[in-house]
Amino acid sequence: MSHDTEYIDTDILIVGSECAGARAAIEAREHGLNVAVVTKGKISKSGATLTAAADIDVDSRSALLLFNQRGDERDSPEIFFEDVVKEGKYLNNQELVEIMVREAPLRVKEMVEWGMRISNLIKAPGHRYPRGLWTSGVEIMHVLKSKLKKSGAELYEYTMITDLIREGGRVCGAVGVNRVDGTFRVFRAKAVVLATGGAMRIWPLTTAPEELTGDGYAMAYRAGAELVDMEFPMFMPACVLYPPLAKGSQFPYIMAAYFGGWMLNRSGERFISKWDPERMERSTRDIIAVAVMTEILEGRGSPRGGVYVSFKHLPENLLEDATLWHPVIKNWKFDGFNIKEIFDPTREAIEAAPATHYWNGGIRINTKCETSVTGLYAAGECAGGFMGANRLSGAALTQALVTGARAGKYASQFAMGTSLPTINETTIKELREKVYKPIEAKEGISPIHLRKELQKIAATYVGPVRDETGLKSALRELGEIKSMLPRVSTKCKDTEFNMEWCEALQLENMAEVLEMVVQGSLAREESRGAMYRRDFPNTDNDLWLKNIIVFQDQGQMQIKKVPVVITRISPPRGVKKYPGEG
Amino acid sequence: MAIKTIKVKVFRFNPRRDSSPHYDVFEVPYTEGMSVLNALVYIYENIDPSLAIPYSCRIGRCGWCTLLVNGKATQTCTTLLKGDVTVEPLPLFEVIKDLIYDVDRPKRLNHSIAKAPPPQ
Repeated sequence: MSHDTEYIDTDILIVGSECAGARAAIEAREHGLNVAVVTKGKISKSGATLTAAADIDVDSRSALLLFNQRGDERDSPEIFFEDVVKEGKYLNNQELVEIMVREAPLRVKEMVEWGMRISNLIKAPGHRYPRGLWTSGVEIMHVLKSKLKKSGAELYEYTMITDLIREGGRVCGAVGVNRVDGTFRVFRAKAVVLATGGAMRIWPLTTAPEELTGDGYAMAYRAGAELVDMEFPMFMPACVLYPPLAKGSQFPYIMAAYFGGWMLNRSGERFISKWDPERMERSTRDIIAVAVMTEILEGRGSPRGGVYVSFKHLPENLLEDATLWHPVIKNWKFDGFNIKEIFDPTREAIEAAPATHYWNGGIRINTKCETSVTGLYAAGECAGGFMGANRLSGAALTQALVTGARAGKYASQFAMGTSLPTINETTIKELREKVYKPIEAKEGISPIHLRKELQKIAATYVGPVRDETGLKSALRELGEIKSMLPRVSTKCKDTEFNMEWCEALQLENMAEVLEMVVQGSLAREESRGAMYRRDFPNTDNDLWLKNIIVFQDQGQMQIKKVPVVITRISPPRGVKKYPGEG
Repeated sequence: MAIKTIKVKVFRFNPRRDSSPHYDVFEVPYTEGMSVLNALVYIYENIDPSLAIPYSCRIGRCGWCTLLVNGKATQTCTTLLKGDVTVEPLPLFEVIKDLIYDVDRPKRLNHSIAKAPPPQ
């Protein structure tokens, strides 16, 4: 069967159109370069930014002085830095964190100048001062989309990038498929910025949107880039299990964190007292997720496999009043849900379990957002190193804005000093065959079935609580999935908007990324932040103040350990029972 | 015990292959508290993988899943399924495939609507 091929030449190719990708594109356009932005979905209708409630962090003094919010002038970028590193359990690349806290006020200020509204300032767990400027993902994308469209960047929607093109040690573009009509698209570029977000959809219970299947991580890996801290997917501690309509909603955790809800096991015990007796349910999310998962795994959970989140101890009028003033639950509206239609939190507990929410690790970058492959840049959640073993609330959008602008800037500088590379037609042909194989194969394994199997492995063995036996089982079962990948065949053979085909193309990425998580978790023989190893329950600062790097060599997944990049804060020493210093 | 099912009538159209749209009716097992989107995804995963559905965040934020449900525009992810339903794309836009429509391409026939002043 023949399918059309479209060739597109550009200076900078940006994969991902939301906060980090759009911000990178705007920056590159300001440098006067040609920019192509590609998204698997539709701009401002897909991707993770929109799902943010959202708080954007700046130090509290800047919140007061620059944004006219009730910030605290005792705070500073330096104190903000300390909190990020301390709550990242000292695995953060401090050079990167310094840049994030320093550039945050500037990046947010320009967003405000471009029209973003800030309605409030909140103090989230782990922050010493209120730093969360309250806005929404929808608002952020409204501003960035309009700015992007005016910038003159070319936008390619519904286009899934399937692989990067690497020639002679550098990245020179990418290939993909136009999901609307099935056309093969070849992008030739001087530099490529990956801004595809995380890989949370590998898990069946997640707060992330459909598109977050780790495509950027896997493509970068196949192109030879290094990834860092991949063993630390972040779990939102208590998300809705039932009813199906609200499955994965963060409502129970958020309400518990801000209004003193209780998390109870089936005996009615506030089990968090065993882990963080001081902060209890207002502890950080890594610790609560581990506590919740431990109750579930040890048989003290609810019938649906969760714990109970209760507000019944709070006076009914306090809860009602909260809906008058707090931005997360204004008028009983949480996200797009009318909570009173779904639950009655004044009367019954909600069954909830940890759901993947964010990717603390990612593609390894330096301060210029350069990856280990020439010409390849990463921004946003796609880029690792900022969050260490746990991310504080509100830091994700700050990181996306800061890295987006930086990746756009440095990719532009690189592109200005280089010419458009030539691409080997044999490479294109191979990548093209890979794309059409699932719809051309007459029969084989259903990608929907295989995705569900993969999600089962993630849910069973790779939650916030892990051990060697489970991780080895995960590797074995993952091996079986990988051996089936070449036989994937879609039932629907349409080239026009074929969701099953898209799933088939995502599967290899999901399997590779899950393997990175498993290999990283096996290598890290301790418990820290978002990962608790039952067989190694201590936080070991003597042996494990190291980042685990995953990369491909000779077609095999390799692991190496590197010392953490430290600039200002010396991590604590010694071995402590998890959660260590908190 | 017999499983309760509901009937979901779905608009189908592939403009590159079909001369005109048609409707398919699917029987979906009903669970209390399921959304209209849950039913559509059930159809895609278990009955007909050729069905194209717009959705992303599933929490009522992205708005991509906005469709006509029994004639009324609503986000399918936050709309409870209460009985048999008919699901169609918003009528003012060109259809890409099935329920996926292009908000950037209003239908040509509806010039007067496209030019109408925004609601106050």
